[in-house]
Amino acid sequence: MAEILLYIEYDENKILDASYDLITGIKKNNEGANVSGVIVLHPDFILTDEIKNNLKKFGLDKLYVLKSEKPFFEKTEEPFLISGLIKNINPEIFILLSSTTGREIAPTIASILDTGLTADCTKIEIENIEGKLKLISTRPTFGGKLMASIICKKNPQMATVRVGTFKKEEFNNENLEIVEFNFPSFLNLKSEIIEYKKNEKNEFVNFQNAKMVFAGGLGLKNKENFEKLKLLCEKTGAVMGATRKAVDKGLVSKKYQIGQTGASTTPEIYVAFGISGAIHHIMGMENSKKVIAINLDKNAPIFKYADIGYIEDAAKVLDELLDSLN
Amino acid sequence: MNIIVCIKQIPDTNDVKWTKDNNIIRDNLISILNPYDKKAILTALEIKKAVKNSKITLLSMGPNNAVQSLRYGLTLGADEAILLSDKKFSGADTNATSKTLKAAIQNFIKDFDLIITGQFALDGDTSQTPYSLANRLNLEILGYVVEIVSVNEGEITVKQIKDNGSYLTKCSVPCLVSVSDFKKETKKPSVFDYMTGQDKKITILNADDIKIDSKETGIVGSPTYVKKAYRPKNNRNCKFVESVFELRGEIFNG
Repeated sequence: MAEILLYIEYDENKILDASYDLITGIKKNNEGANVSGVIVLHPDFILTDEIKNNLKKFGLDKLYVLKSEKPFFEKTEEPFLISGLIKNINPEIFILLSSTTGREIAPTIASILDTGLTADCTKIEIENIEGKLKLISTRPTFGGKLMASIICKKNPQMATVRVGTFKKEEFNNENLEIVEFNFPSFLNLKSEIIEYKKNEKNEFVNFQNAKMVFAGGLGLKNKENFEKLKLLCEKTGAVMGATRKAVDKGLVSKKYQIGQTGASTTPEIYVAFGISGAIHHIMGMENSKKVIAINLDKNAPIFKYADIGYIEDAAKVLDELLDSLN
Repeated sequence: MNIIVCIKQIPDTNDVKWTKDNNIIRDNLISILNPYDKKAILTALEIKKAVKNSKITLLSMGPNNAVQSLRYGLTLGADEAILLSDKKFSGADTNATSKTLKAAIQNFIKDFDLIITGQFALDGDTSQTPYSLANRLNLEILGYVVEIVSVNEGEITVKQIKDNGSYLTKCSVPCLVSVSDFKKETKKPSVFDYMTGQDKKITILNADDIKIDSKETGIVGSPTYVKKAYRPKNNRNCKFVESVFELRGEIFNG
């Protein structure tokens, strides 16, 4: 049977939610195909029964387990291990997350296997043509101004998928077959990690399951206002987001970034506080159900993408909203 | 230390205009040096300052007018430049691009200690070519580099910021360093830089010069192709509210 292979990503002791989302997203639309995963087990990660159950529950049929002797944050040999597996099992399609890990190992694997790779896709379609799978990967290019649907002529057809593209769901999946592969660690690495510092909270922000997202842009001006935005989110159950400009200016941590090179989100209600509406940001939120924008500049492009607009200083509105909740 | 900096000239993504069929209108299109690649050049200059007798060679693949960006890089302080330009190279995806760059480096430039690239190009935004190139040259790659911590003739130490944390990594040369642009760079060449930049050499090479089989290049050598392109639609119609009270209703009461 045709096989789709997914890269399963984890962080210390937890499979990323985004990996579960990917499994469901692919399984849901391709129930006739075998959806397999590959995980590289570093010595500091234990594949518990709970994890195996979750992988099964969210739609995985088969898990290939490869072993590495390096700590979990050192990924340099993973592309070589995974390429070895792919040469053995010949999946037709191989998909990874477009996390920094996915975006680092995917192109190395594609060049080892001399195949094509489409980066940072926001839509994945897989057609089954007489038992052969064809991957159609769609991604934004030219700063989000153009969407391109890309085909790969060789197998495995590869893509990385933007976090937030899919949402996990439970399946009545009966079995998860586990296959261990042992490749010798053959790499003699020259590079040496002298120091590794974990991000204080390095999981992606869970935009996928958010009902409300309150995002801030440069119009919020300073860190204090982002703290206030965070407070408003905590009080109302919303998830905080930010623009790339605000992140680049150091007003808020990168994990909150929505848009091109950040995450995508599709909540019921999306509120833009002081966001001008650069196309990079729009890419990540335009499929929200209801968009509300607050900006002092009545000509800000964000209003073109909004259902409700309010022309006012976003920082002032933030204060008033907080006051009204107290 | 011999440093190669790979750069790309891109259309200014703020300025792209389209035909009905979603082709780029190339007339009057403003081309710029990819901003991450400017950071790569500045990083090379920083290393050149630290390591005596260093030489910076810029390498680019593109149409003939990409000499503009190479010339700009030379005015910033690079020593010489090579443009890979041939009809056979056009339509290349990242796979074919990396093979072409590899051929130029292996068959023409030959001697190098360090390759520096930008992490992303703002037009395609794939971030794939640096990794593909490193692998084809059997080099280790240090990606998402935000700072050169120390460097000497034989070794480089960098700071990298990735999703799961920050890394301090050291690697002996030769290796490839890919820089991401966390701080905005403001360096602009002076009139003197422009004058000296004009005298520096730009070599233009074709497929034969770098000894690459044209089956490996351009659209023929690319495993991926664009099946269709379309522009995202926007159907919203903004209704303005006049007070925080109304705004609150819209946010919290549907």
